[in-house]
Amino acid sequence: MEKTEKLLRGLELVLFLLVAALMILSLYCVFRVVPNEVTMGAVQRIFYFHVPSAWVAFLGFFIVFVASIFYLVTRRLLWDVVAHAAAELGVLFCAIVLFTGPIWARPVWGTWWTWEARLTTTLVLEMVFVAYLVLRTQAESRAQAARLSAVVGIVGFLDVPIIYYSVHLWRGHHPIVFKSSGGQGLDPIMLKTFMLCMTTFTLLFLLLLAMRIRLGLLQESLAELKEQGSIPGA
Amino acid sequence: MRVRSATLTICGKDLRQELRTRESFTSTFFFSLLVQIVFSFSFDFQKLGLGFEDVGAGILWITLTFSAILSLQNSFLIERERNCLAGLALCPCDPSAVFLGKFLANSLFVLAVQVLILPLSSLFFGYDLLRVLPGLCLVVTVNAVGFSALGTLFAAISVRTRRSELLLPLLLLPAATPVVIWGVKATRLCLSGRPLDSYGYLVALSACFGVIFTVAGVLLFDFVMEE
Repeated sequence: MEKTEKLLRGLELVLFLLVAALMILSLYCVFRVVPNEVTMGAVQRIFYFHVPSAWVAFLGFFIVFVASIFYLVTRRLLWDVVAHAAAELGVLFCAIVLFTGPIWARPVWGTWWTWEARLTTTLVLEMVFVAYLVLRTQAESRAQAARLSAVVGIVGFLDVPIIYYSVHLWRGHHPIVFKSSGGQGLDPIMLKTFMLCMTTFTLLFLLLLAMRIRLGLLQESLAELKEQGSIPGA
Repeated sequence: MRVRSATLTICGKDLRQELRTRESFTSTFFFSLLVQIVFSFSFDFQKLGLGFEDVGAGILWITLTFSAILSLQNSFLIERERNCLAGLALCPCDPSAVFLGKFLANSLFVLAVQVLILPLSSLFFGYDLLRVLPGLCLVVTVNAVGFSALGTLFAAISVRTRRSELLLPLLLLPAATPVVIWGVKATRLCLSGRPLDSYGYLVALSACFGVIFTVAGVLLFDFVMEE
C-alpha cells in the first residue's frame, strides 16, 4: 500500500504540471486561436469541452468494468478503490456532458433536450452509475460494498451498448459536429485544438483518478487503524 | 442434471410458499389494478380522442414494470426473514441453481399477474383483446422474462443492503431500459393489428437481452450470495 501511495504521489506531481500547462494552452486555443464555426457560431466552441468530457466519462466507466473484474478475481481491495474512484469521476464527467450538451442544443437545435439516442444513452448511463454509487453507501460491510458494486459495475457496463442500440432503434441520430468529409471540411486548426483538448482532458482525468485512488487508499488505512483501536476515541 | 433438479426445487419452494400465503400475488395484482385506475383518471380517452392502441402499450408497460419490481423485491425480502438467505447460500448445490430457481419463480409470478391484468385492461379501456392475444402473449412473455432475469440479479443485490426497497428501482429501471423500449414498441405494433413480421425482430432482441443477463446472473450470482 505504502509503495503504491508513493508511486501515486510522484505520478500526481508530473501529471499536475502537465495538465496545468496544457489546460492554459487549451483555453488559449479554444478562445483565441480557433475560428468561429460557420453555421453555429461561437457556441460550437463548447464542443472542445463537451466531447473530451464524454470520452473520459466512458473511459471511467470502462475502468470500473475492468477493475471490477480484477477485484472479483483477485479480491485485492486496491482494485475496488480504483473502481470506486473511476465511477465517481465517470459520473462527474458524464454530468459535465449532460450540462454542456443542452447549452449548445438550445441555440442550435432550439431546444434544451431531445430524446435522441446518444443523449438518452448518456442520461441512462449516468443513472446506472449513480445507482452504483448509492449502492456503495448502502452496503452493510466494506467487503460487501466491494463485491456487490463490482457485480453492478460489470453488468452496468455490459448494458451500455445494448441501451445505445435500443434507444437508437427508438429514436434518430446525433449530429456529426466534426465532419471530416464533404463540403468545406474541418479547419485543420480546429482539429488540432480538438486533439489538444482530448489530450488535456485525458491527462486531467488521470490526475484526478490518481488523487482519488490515493485518497481511497488513505481512507482504507484509516479504517484499518480505527478497527485495530490504534486511534484513541475513534 | 443436479443444477436442474435444484433449480426446480427452489422454484417449487417459492411457488408453494406463494400458494399458501398469496402475499406477493395479491398485493402485486391490486397494485397493478390501481395503476390502471390511475391511468384512466389521468387520460380521459374519449375526450382526448385517443384509441387504446395509441397509449395502451405505455399503460401496459408501466403497469408491468412497477408491479414486477414489487414482486421481485418481495421474492428476496421473504428470504431475509429468519435469515433464510444464509440458508439459501448454504444449499448443497451450485449457486447458479439458486439464481435460476428464483428467476423461474419470479418470471412465473410476473406472468401470473399479467394473465389477470390483460383481460381487465381490455374491459377498462375497451379494446379487442382476443384479436391481438397471440402476439401480445408472446411480447409480454418474452419481455417479462428478460426483465425478470436482470431483476432477479439486482433484487438479490439490493436485498443485501440497508435500504433495499429504494435501491432496486434505482438499479433496475435504467439498466432495464432496452426491454422496456422494445416491449413498448412491440406492444404498440401488436395492438395496432400489425402482423408478427413487423415486430418479430423486437421480440428477438428482447429474447437476446434475457439470454445475456441470465448468463450474467448465472456467472455472477455466486459473488452476490457470499457472506
